[in-house]
Amino acid sequence: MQLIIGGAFSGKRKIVKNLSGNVSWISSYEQQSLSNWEKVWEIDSNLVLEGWENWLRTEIQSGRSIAAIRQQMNTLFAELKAEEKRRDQQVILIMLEMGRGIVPLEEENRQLRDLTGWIQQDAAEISEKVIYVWHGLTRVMK
Amino acid sequence: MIMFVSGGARSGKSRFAEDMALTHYHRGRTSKQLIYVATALRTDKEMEDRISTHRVDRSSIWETVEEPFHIVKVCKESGFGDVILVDCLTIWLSNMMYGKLEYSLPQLIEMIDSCILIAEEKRQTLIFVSNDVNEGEIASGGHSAVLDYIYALERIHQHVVTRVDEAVQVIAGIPVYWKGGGS
Repeated sequence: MQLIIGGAFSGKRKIVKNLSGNVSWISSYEQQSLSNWEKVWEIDSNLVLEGWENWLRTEIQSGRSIAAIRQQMNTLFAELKAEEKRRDQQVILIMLEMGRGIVPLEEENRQLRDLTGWIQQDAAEISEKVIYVWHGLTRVMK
Repeated sequence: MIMFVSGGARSGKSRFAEDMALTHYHRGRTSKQLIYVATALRTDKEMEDRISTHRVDRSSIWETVEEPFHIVKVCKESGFGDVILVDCLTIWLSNMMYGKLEYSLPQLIEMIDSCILIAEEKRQTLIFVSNDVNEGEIASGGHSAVLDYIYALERIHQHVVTRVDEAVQVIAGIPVYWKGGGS
């Protein structure tokens, strides 16, 4: 499992597109749902999951607690890891860094910012490789 | 030598860029001028004070040029071996996007490229200072005008880093080199 993390429009997608091999791509920016990952993941391809902040916002809006969502995501990460091992393929998570500005005024945005930060820490811990993207340049953090 | 320096607010990026400019100025035997291109507009008293504080902070060897828009003009008028510090791209871009002028993003990128080409031809040191504004919450929950601005700025940043010899992120005054070794 790989985590690609960086700010908005920092070139994260381009980095992933330059990796070799076939990819199955699930993007929240294309209104795709995270729960379909098993169906979308084609044979002999790596799975890319992009736009976590939108999926997490949807979860928050459903009224569930931050702790429950975090737990659910960690279960998902474990499932993804098991499946990539079974298939001998890779899962690539693309996540948006959004924790560096001022604290958001609105409660939902504060919750989302907190949750994405925690989920990113969890994802970084479970990933074998973590890459930070800065204006199109990359740095391997792990 | 072309350089890109960025970082968060008050990360010490301007200070670092100024030190780099001074180092290159003193090192180059052919250096004639040390030019500080200030892109901020004089809009109010607070801005006036900010500008004069910065001017006093820099020693008199600096030639300060206030140019909120036409940075290419400054580059064209500069001389062989000059050291030019453009501070900063974020303010310049907002002047170019939200003033009366209408430039497309490719045109803006072309302006930066012109400065880089001129600097290469004239064997100058050219340093661009900018801000990392794309790593905050506004990125996903933000107003679309803000997103447009961040998008344009990131397109410029991504382009600039491909053209420079050194790209440096300043964190708490400490330079992290993303490109080039820091000679």
